[in-house]
Amino acid sequence: MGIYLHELVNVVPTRADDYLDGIGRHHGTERQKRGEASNSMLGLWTVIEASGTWPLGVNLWQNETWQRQAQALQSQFEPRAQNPELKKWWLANLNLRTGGFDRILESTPYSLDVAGLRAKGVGGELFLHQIVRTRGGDVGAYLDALGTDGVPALEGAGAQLVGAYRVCNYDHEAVVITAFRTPRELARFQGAWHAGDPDGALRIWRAREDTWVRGKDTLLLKPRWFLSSPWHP
Amino acid sequence: MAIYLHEISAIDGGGKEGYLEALRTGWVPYAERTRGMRLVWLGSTIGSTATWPETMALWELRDWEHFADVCGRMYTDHADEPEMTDWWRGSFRFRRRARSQVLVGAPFSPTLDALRASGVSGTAYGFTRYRVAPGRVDAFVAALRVRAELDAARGRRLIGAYEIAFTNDAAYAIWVHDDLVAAGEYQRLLPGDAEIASWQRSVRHLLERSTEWWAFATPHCPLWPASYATDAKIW
Repeated sequence: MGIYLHELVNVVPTRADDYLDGIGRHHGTERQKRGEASNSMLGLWTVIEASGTWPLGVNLWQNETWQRQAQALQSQFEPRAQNPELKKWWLANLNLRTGGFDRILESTPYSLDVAGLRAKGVGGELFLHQIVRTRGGDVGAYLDALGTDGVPALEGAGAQLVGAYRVCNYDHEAVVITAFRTPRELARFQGAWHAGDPDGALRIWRAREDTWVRGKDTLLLKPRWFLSSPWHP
Repeated sequence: MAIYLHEISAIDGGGKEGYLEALRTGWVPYAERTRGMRLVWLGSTIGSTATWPETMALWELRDWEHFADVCGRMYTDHADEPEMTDWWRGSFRFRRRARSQVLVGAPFSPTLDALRASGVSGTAYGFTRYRVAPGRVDAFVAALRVRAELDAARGRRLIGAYEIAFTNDAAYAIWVHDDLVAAGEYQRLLPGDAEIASWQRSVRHLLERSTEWWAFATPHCPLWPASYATDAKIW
C-alpha cells in the first residue's frame, strides 16, 4: 500500500494560491533533480469558505514507500541529510503560511495511485474531503466496508473516489476524498445522501457507516493542481 | 429542502463594526444580486457566552443545486470576478479567518419568508449545537419540533432546526428571544422547568450534549424588530 503525506496548511488570507504554487514549484523542482517528480503530487487544493476552517490549503503528496517518506523527513531534520534548498524555501515563505497539521497516510488496496487516477480520468471542479473518526481500532473495518459497499454507492451517485486512506500513528482516523466533475454532480450527490431512495445503495451505505463512524470533519475543496502541475509533469 | 450556510468570522482586534458594515454594504447585496443568496441573520457572538470577537452570518439557499452553484463560484485567489475579489481581499482589514458549516433545514424548520410572514423577530439569539449519537440525527431533529413548541410557550421562538451536513453526529438550532432580558429570564427559569426536564429525559438516548452561544443581531439583520429603529452600530 502506498504512503502519502497529507498536510492541512494555515495559509495567509488571500495568499492560498501563492502558497500552493510556491510549495508546488519547490517540491516539483527538487523531485525533478532526483528523477522523482512524476506521480509525486496527488493534489494541491484550496478550501472554500463553506465548511470547516478557512483559509486553508490541503496538500497530498505521494511518497509511495516508508523509505521515501523517511528520506523526506530526513531532508528537514537529520543533521547530515538536511536539504539547504528546503530550508531556504521554508524560511522564505513565512508570509504565505503560519502553520499546519500533517498526517502520514497509508492507502487502501482499492485506492488508485497518481498514475492510476490519471489513467482513469478522475477529477473535477469540487472535491469533498473528509476526516472520518471511528472508535479506536475500528478504522480498518470501516475502510474495508467502504471499499466493498461504500465506494460503489458513492460512485453510483456521482462521486469519484480519489482515495481512502488510513491515518498512520492513529488507531481511529481515515481520510476519504471524492471528486465531482461539476457543482451539479455534487448537488445530485448531496440530494441523494439526504433525501434519496431509502432502499437505494447510497442511503443504505449512509446508515451502515454509522456502525463505525463516530464523527467527520469535512472540507469542500477547489483544486489548484490535481495529479499534475507545471512542476510535476 | 432549504440549505443554510453559516459563517463565523474571527475578527481582528476592533474590526467588528467595520466588518459588519462592509458585509452590509458590500457582500450582502452583491451575494443576493449575483447568487441569489438570501441573508437570514447577521450579527456577532456575545463574548460572555462564546468565542469573541466573532461575527456570524446565516444565508438561505433554495436547495442542494443552489448550494453547489454557490460553492462552484466561491472565492479563490484566482477567481475571475473583480467585484467579489476586491471585497474579499478588503475584508481582511477586519477579520483574520473563518469557519463555516452547512445546515440542512428540517421539514418543519421555517424559511426566511415564513419567519417574516409570522412576524418572528428579536435582538437576542441562541445558537445551539447538539452532539447526537452517531446515526440518530434524524430522530433528534424530529424531537426538536417538540422542544420548539415548549420553548415557544416560554417566549423563545425557533428560527431554524437543522442537521449539520457532512456529519453523522451533529444537529443545530437557532432560537430568538425578544431581547437580552428575556433571554436571561428564560435561562433563570430553565432549571426548574418540569416540562423541559421531561423533554430532556425523552432525548437522553439520542443527545450526548449541547452547547449554546448567544449572539446579538445587527440592526440591519432581516430579523431585527421592525419597531426598533436605530442607527447604532454594534462594536
